[in-house]
Amino acid sequence: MRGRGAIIVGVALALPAALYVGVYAWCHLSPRPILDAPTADIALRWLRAPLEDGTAGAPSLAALGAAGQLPLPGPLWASVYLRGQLVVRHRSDAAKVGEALAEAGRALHASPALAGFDAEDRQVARLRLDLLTARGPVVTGVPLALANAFASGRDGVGVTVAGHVAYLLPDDLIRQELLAGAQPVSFIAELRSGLDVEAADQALAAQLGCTAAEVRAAHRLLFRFRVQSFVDSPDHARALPVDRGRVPVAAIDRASVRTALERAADYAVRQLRWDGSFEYIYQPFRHQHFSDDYSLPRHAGTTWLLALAYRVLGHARYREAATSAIDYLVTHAVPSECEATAFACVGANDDADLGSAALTSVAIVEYQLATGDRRFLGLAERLGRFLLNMQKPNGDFCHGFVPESGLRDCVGQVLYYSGEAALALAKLHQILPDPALTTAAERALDYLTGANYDYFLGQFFIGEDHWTCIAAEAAFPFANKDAYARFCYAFARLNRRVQVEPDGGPLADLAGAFGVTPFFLPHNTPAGSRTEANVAIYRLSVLRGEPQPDILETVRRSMRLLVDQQFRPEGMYLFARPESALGGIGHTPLQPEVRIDYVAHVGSAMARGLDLVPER
Amino acid sequence: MKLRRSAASTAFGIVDLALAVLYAFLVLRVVPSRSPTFTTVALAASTLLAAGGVGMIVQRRLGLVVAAVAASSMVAATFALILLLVASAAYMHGIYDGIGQAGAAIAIAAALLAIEVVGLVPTLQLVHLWRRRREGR
Repeated sequence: MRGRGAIIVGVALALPAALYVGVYAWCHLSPRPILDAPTADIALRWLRAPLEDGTAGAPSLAALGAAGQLPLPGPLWASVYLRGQLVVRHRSDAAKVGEALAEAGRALHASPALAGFDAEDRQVARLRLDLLTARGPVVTGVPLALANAFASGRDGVGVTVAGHVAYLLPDDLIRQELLAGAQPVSFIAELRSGLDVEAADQALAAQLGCTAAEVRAAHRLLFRFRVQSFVDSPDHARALPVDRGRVPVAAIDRASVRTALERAADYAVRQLRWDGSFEYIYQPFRHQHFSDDYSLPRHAGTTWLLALAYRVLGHARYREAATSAIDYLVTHAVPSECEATAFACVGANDDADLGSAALTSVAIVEYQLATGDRRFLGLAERLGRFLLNMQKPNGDFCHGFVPESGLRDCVGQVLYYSGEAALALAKLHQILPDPALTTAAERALDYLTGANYDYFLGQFFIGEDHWTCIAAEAAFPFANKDAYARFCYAFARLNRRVQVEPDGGPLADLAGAFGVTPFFLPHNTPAGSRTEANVAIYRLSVLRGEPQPDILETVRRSMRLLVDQQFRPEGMYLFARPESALGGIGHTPLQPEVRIDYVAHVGSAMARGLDLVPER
Repeated sequence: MKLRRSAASTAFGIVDLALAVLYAFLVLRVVPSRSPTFTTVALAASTLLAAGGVGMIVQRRLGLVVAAVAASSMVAATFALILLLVASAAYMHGIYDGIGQAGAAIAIAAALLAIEVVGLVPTLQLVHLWRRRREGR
């Protein structure tokens, strides 16, 4: 009996382990790069010959040497993009690199679409080369497993129907917005992760000339694959590696961050409309702007970026744009019921809020400090009175205000408003030496770093308190408290724990981002906002004479990510008008939609942390 | 055949009925699956568990046999659930080249929850039934 029990226990323990090893070995891909950088240069310059005026400068394929004889584990694709649109793609199934490139080159030479390009088209067209490096099976019987069977931005989808194979390259999935398209939990529409399988079926069917139902019927022959990808540089001189649809940045220095800051601020300037408001959302794939649900706090945050950029870079265009943006708030966002009062509010007559007033104050303070222009000082003073009026006895704030009735709405709480108000009070002190402001700022910080977490679970977590810690640094001259520093160091430690490491496995290319699993790609805005906070916390530690090198390292890692994620000339070949997207920051590494606050947070982090980045 | 009544058996029966209702509620209302197969299997398991619960309360020989079958099925289901979790974790590891600390923690927590929520009561119930049989009650 004892022996039989031991066998049962042994099997019970061994079976899961064996199952794990078996499933892993079945579905794991081990891609190996095929081309090195010099051979990729040669390959792309060879393929580009049809887009050049002559073939005089094009190298011979013989220059590939031994690389030309390398075996290919799958197809090779040569694609030409013009203003974000795929114009030509040729797939070669030849067995060796040299043969496949020769075939692709012939196909591009024979392409009527390329023959119709004018000189400008030839100049701006981008050539991309993909080589399949590995393919593997996927589970198709379980919808959730199938949707999540493709590593986002890295895996392509393929299927065999009636002996014909169709492929959707990783770029196709990004460009057609098929990623983050599945809804794993039926009643949580906001939670989306994985491939939109139905849309992918339709795209594969279009390639094969069959119906989506036929592709669906062939799902058991679906597979995923990896590619090694290159795109030619904008000057067409080099082949640049591509990962998750972008050209990665390996390292940064102060000059590169300065350039990135300038691009971010210029992006904000380009979004400015005639009335001083911003184009709110930009979709680079389709070159479309959206301004639904315009947010005044985000408008004010972007104005703050412009003032910071003017202070750091000194370009007059940033000052002019900041002036217009504040003018917009003065003329369009201060409701009539708040015009004749001793205080000013921001919003509408039936609904004003704390966050809009707070960030407007922050933007005005930064503007005045950067420019010396005192024209908005009166508004800042009245906004300060509003913030004081909104503070509760415990130091927290009411978040809503109804100008028509003059009543505060203290019921609803908005995530960031109290921290923003604390920062506004601390910043206002820099241009208005009023002790009431410093007292209120101190009370707000006492609450946010103390009583706000004074319950059992509060000892185990910290929320999105980046504004609180920016405020703690701003308040240092009049409120240097251990409690603020301890709280913000803990916030920075938490950031560090969830920050993707340079050797972070599947997300290593996103080192510096803040995320918890590879299933959900980290978003870019938190990387910006937390870096703003980490910059402030590091500066606070220096001011207190206890510099924290770990926090500085967290900042520098994030800064590389922010430069990497910004839309730069080297990438953007999938965008309709790259010049319009330049300097923007996408929602996630695979979703390029830009909202002004994404740029505001990232740009502000760069402006405020520029001197923390090494010169070299 | 009339057996001597046991308060513990009655308690197990009540818990079985409550769990059967809970599982059915979870499957039908809280986390409805898109897969009719999953829903059917889960509801069949709930029904079997409820039948076992009635058997434990009635405490006739046939009822106790049904209860033993139901509890054994739930223990087997727990083991199958753990194997599915292991296979899922391995699959995700293979696809994403790693599942990260959070992914590993979620997988372990799910396995522990599966043992606690699905497997613990049936295991104790089987031990109870085995003791009862050994004592000839």
